[in-house]
Amino acid sequence: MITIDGQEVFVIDGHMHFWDGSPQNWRNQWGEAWIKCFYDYHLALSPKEAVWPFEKFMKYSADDLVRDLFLEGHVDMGIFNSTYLREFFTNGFNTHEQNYALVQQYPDRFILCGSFDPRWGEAGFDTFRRMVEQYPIRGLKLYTAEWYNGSRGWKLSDPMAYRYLELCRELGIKNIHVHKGPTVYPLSKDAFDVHDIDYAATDFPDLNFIVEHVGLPRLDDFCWIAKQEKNVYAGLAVASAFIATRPRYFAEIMANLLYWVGEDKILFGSDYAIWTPKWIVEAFARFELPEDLKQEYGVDLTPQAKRKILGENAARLYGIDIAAQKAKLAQDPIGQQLAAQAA
Amino acid sequence: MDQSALWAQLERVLDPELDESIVRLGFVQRLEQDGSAVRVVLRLPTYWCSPNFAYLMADGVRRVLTELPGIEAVRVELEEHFASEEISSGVTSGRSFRELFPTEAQEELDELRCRFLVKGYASRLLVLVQALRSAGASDDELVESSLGQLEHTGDLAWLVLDDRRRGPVRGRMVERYLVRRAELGLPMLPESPLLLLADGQPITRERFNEELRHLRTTVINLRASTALCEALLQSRQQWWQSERKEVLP
Repeated sequence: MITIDGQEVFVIDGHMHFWDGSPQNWRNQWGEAWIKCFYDYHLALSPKEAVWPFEKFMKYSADDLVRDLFLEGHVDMGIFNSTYLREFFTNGFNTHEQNYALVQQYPDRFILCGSFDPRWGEAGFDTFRRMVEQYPIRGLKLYTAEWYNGSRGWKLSDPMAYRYLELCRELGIKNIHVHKGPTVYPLSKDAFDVHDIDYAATDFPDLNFIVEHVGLPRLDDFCWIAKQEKNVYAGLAVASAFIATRPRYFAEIMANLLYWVGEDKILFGSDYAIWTPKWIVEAFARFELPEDLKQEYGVDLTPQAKRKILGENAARLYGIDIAAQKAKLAQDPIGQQLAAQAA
Repeated sequence: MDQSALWAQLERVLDPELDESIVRLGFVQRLEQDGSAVRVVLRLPTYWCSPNFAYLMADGVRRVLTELPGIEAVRVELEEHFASEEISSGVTSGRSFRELFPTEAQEELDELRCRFLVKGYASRLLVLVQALRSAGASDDELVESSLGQLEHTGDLAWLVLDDRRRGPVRGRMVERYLVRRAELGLPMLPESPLLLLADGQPITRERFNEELRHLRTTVINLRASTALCEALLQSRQQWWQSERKEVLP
């Protein structure tokens, strides 16, 4: 639990994973390169005391996850951003099926995201329906840079993507997390582009689009879009990890997001296990925007803004009544363990 | 040939996204010369760095080095990248990006490059404005000045007004702004406005703060990306170090 101004804060980690990046799961050299690249991100921005050995980073246990998020990381709930990468990993990297094992064990702690890929074509409609019927899928994580049958990416504005978004409406899925972050392959046709979000957000005003990693390294393009579209949100994963070793950049990114996007549309995320939430949440609770940025942008990261970003905004998107949810969580095995710890 | 001439040329090759020299960013791992042949080894911050940018940098290396008299063959090797082979052999043999990735590359690289030249220009413009402001220039003076009022002496530059001058600011800063402004084909006449947006429009007094805010967002994006890339490259070195350890007795 973390407090801001003496008040308890409900924390939803809007972006977390339970992956298997171990050599047994590598399908080819891409799997190895993938997890090594993730580890570079881990090393590049983690404070020393939060660095894991590579062995553990490749594959960690459910117990690790429960401890890192809930028992030590101040997180109350986590959103599983399922990521498939079946062309790199034999059993997938962290599919909704893998994540479901934890959801079953702690149903109130997680929001499970599924996914679609427009390159499945019409044949994939049934697969997608089945996924939503068989698993408690509450949101989607889309990964437009995923490799598939020789194609190395797609756009949210592709006609077939629209067919799937229509299906989301029918199936009652409202929250679409889209990875628009650090470059992974996409070739020149859609590299460095967040503009497909703009089209989809305009044409599906009843769906919410959470742009994960705030478009970094295309923060500026993202800001212009999010300012115009009421249903475009900023997912802080990756940006949040700047807070310890690059606090000035973090402050500037936050000032920009508060100015262009606003405190009601920013969602905290740690990108666990690239980074553990403990140090990020603690630093965020303490964080103050430097005076010059406050002046220049006319914004502030107030205690109220922090509470919204850490949990209230995500709770609103997913229809979570925080008071009721807290009462429920206090009773689950993790809640009981926390109570025992506190006693 | 003195290697410093080669390095000086390499200094001119920029990461198009970060608008910074690949030498300063630490992307050049090795430079070897054997008579008229040069071999350059590049290593980028991640295995997945976009191949279009990787191509632009590798091809940039080939171009600037072949400009030097006496250099006839340039071999560029991109290390540890998922498209290492295509890009290394493609660039060394002078093939275009579309020839290398015929099914995937649709947009011309020039277009992409241009988009990032514009972002880099935004950054250079903002840096100039901020420097002149902290050297005492008022916003009114900045929007009313023309290019001819910039005065260089050595590594310093000033903005010359009727009765006084503002400055000094670093000459390199002014130089970077002017070079990119010319590259974008913007007016370079002495009477052209000092501050021009990338589309050629002058910045008016009314929109000054708003334009500056736009520029800032582009710049913070660029700087955060640079910081991330530098940190990634640094931690990336560990894999080679550990592999080397395994090879050595």
